[in-house]
Amino acid sequence: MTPPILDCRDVSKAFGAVRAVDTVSLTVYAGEVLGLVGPNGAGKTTLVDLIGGEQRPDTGTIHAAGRPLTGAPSRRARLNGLARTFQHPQVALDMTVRENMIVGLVARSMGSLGGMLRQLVRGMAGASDPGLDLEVDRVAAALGLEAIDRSCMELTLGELRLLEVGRALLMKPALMLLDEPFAGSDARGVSGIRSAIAEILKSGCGVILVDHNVDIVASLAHRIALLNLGAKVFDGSPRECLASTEMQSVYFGSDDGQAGGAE
Amino acid sequence: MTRRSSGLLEATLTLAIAVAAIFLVSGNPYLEAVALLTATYAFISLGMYLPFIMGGALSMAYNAYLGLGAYAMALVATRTTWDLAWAVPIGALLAAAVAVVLGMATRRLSGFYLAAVTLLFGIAFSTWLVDAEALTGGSAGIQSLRAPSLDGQPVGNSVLVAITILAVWLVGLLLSRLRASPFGIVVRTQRRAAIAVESAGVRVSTLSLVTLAVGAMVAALGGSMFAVVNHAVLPESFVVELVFLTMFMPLLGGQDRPWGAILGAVLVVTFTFQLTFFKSTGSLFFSLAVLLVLVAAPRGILGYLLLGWNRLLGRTGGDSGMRGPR
Repeated sequence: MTPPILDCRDVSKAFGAVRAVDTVSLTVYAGEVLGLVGPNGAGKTTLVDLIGGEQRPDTGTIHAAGRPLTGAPSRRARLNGLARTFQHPQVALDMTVRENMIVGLVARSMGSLGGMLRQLVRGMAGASDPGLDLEVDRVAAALGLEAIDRSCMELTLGELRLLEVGRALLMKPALMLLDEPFAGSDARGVSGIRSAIAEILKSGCGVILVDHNVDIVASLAHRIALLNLGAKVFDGSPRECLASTEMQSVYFGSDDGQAGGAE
Repeated sequence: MTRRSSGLLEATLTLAIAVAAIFLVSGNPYLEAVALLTATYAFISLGMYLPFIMGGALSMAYNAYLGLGAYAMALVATRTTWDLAWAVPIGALLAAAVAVVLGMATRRLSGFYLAAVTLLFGIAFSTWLVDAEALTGGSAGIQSLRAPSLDGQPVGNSVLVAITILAVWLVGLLLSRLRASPFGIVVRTQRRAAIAVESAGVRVSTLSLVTLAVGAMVAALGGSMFAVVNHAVLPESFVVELVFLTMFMPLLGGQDRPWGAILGAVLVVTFTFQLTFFKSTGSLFFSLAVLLVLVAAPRGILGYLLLGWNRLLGRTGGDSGMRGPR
């Protein structure tokens, strides 16, 4: 069997007395969409931040494509083939859609001081690379992002999320972390993200899809991991997950009337 | 209009303005002195453009970088027999090294705190220039710098001023190209979305150091030209007040292109030092002008000219409707 793109073992993270992520183990394989669901406060975004390198786990190990990633900065995660979007879109609003997307394409070449200096000299020399624009045009068209030379101030929240997905796609990752890509998206945005995930899978990339909307996640994911109060309480197919007593308990309350999560 | 033809038009138009300025001032020592002062301000303003206007890192030590360029030129001219051209890279590299060390020491600071610490360094530097008499000549500075020579003949001041104006044009052009390049795009993006740039694989702190070093080199180049044309350096030319005046030049001239920084320098020198009416109230007038521009025309003068031009061509894009430094 091929090794997983991502292998998290017993990862934990606490903030004071709160265990945001509690000994969670996860694997993601190439071409697989892993849905990560759970109510507010379940630890989804913290787990994504631990994988993406934005935070360091207290315990546990994270490997990407067999290489250790535990506690590495987010740049290292990127160099190991991880790309991500953010719960709150991280976009330079006063720049154009094209400019924001180009970052995904060129950032890797600026991963070292030598690379930065090369790009600096190329920039001053006025060296142009029409291939960059063509690649951005191709990905934008695949996502349904139109008029990409307009300012990001003109974009809806859904379009901003699509832009982030586009930027991440341009990094040609092995694993994409999508953190609540459907939140605040209109029907066009949702359709765009669906197309994006199809596009991602075509390249053999794996996806971790985090969202509150269980129905959308279940329709896209090959497998779902259900988190509650920082712990993974279920891992299986969407059909099994939706029918599981854990899902019923987390979202609709257990027999003793206690609903899980912090909602 | 394609990007290439647009770039060619920009280069040609701005070169034509630079050449016109050379013809205007050439042969008139007073106007040459004004042009030199304007160019010196323009160099500091251009030096701040990449790290501050594009990257958002407000360092206030530009008087020190200018001074390093100037004193490197003065020391090479008075204490060595080297060709004076060597002083330019020496001053630039020295300034870049100081900027990197200062940037590393303040890497955890941003905004007000970064400005405050670098301001302190700028003040310390101007005090050091007076104190380190053996090296810098103290408050008397270094006088009687030899003139650069070409084939054994000294190069006249008119030629040096012309070279200085052309150097300002060249730096403006290089920065303008850089701004639109992938490097410039990444620098501008990290200003607003540093997390996204970092997670895309770029070490933002290193990128910031690179921009600070380039900015310091540009300011040092200005210092070298200032020293060689004046044939002297005085510590009072490198006080920190320079930086306060300079940092608002792109806001007045326009932040969308480096040319706005040069236009700002031209306006400041004209209003602060040249017009008799404003002579005693120049700085006050400048402050009010900046305030007025920030409130009524946040894109700066050049920004609005470009907006009008783009509208004429029926273009839209990221340059429309934005506010604040970018």
